Amino acid sequence: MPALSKLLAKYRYSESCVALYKPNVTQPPTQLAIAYIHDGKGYIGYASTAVPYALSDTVLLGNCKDISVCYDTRWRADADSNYHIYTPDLLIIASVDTSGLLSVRLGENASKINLDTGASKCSVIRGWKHISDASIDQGICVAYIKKGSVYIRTGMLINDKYNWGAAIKLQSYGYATDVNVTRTNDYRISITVSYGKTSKMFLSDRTFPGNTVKNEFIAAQQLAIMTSGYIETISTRDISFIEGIGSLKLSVDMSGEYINLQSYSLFGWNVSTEHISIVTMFDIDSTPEALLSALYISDINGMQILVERIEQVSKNTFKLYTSNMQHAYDEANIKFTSSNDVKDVIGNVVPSFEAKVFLRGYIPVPPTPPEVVSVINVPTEVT
Amino acid sequence: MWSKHIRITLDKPINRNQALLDASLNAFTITYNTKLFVDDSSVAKQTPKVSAISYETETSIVLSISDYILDNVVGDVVVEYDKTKGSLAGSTGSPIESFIKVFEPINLTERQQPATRETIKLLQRVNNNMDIMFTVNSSISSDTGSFNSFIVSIENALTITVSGTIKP
Repeated sequence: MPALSKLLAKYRYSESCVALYKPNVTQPPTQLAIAYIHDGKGYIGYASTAVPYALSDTVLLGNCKDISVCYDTRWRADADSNYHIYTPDLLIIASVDTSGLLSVRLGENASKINLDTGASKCSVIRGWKHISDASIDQGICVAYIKKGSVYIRTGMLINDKYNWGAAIKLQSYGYATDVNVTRTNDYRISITVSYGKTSKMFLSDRTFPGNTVKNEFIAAQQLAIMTSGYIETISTRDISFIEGIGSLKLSVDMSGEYINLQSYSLFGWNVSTEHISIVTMFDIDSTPEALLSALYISDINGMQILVERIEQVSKNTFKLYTSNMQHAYDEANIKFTSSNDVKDVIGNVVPSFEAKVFLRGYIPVPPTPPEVVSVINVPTEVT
Repeated sequence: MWSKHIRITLDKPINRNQALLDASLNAFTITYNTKLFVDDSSVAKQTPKVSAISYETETSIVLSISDYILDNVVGDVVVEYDKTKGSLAGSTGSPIESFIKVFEPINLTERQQPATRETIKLLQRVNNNMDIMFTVNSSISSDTGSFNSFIVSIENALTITVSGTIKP
């Protein structure tokens, strides 16, 4: 971005850091958030990505000797199953004040969350978040230097609140002079540390958000038998998993001679469930009724599974109540037709998708075979 | 109305795979008695083979019987299924258990067959040979093989017995 370089050079800022604001998954960033230090004070300025760059809405943060910003970051699929990052409207600011107090703000006007003292440098990034497994989330990662050693602290989003873990000291390869934390494009967190003239890069484990390959449908589920069972899928384009809770009756016939003979289905699942929960990758801002009207659920034979009512459990979780899943067998289909009434929290219309639900991962129980109800002759016309 | 079919209704959906149905023909044993003659009460036990099994509805199949018809049944029909010989299964894959069911046929119209008891009439004697000719009331098959199984036995010097079955 040569224009951005010119902008930063023009104002002769020190210790600047730039974050891109990209609210739409399929559109380029629309705004820059620029953190910089001028005369010993920290500032946040905003600039449109449209040329020419121009700072506006500058916010004073107070005394600072280092500052770093990033936007909260999510990602999701477009209509072609390609995954894109987008940024909710939450700017995360890490700073070290002149006394060495390391703090984080979740939003420019939010109160400070103090993380450590005696710090000299800091860098912050929002890590990769697994799209369906909330436990696999690298959270907000703040890397900082304290007395020549590098530490990180991570904030995990749990029940809509960030919980900050204890400081972790990285292995030392000398006296650290600078640190920078970034996301890599292979789903890791990278911490680059300068030790005077040499640098080291620390890489985290990969977080596979489930989108490293295109998913055409829900890939896997897990559920228990009879009570308190659940179905969980790894991923799909816009549904992260589907869950059945309550009275689950699952069955499969593992008879060898039968499997050899039957031609259409290796496993004869028979699912009876009262609840199906749909968890989306992003928060939905619509009424449950609007979502229900856009959903069509059918069994393996194409017969519609009627949903009696829908309940919004949380921002991204909806529970469907149905008593008509008895003959869903080993798969069901969920089709969502895009509707202007169903949008995410940033105002984007949720794109259409179609997903299959497969059942697996539980202990097979022989199903109850059909029993003969009646036997009678059939009068037949013979010429 | 002639009846050559038996409907079996189940309480759950049945696997409609025709290969499974065809593999179950020999698993059925059907037994009933039929009248031998219309003018007396003698009966003969019949065990016709099942020639076809067809999927009728989600929960019913129909057995077709070869060779015999049900219209002259006396009493109940016994339908027996042996799961070790058959492959019938539910839609979820579970094999249908063996069963024995008895039913009384409905809506039967007794057919004019077999005919009234036949009588043999001595028509002619040539030299030392005796030709026997007899007539029946109903039409019979033109298949001469139908008569090969006749057994002629001599009771005494004056009486002979001819026994066998003719096909209508």
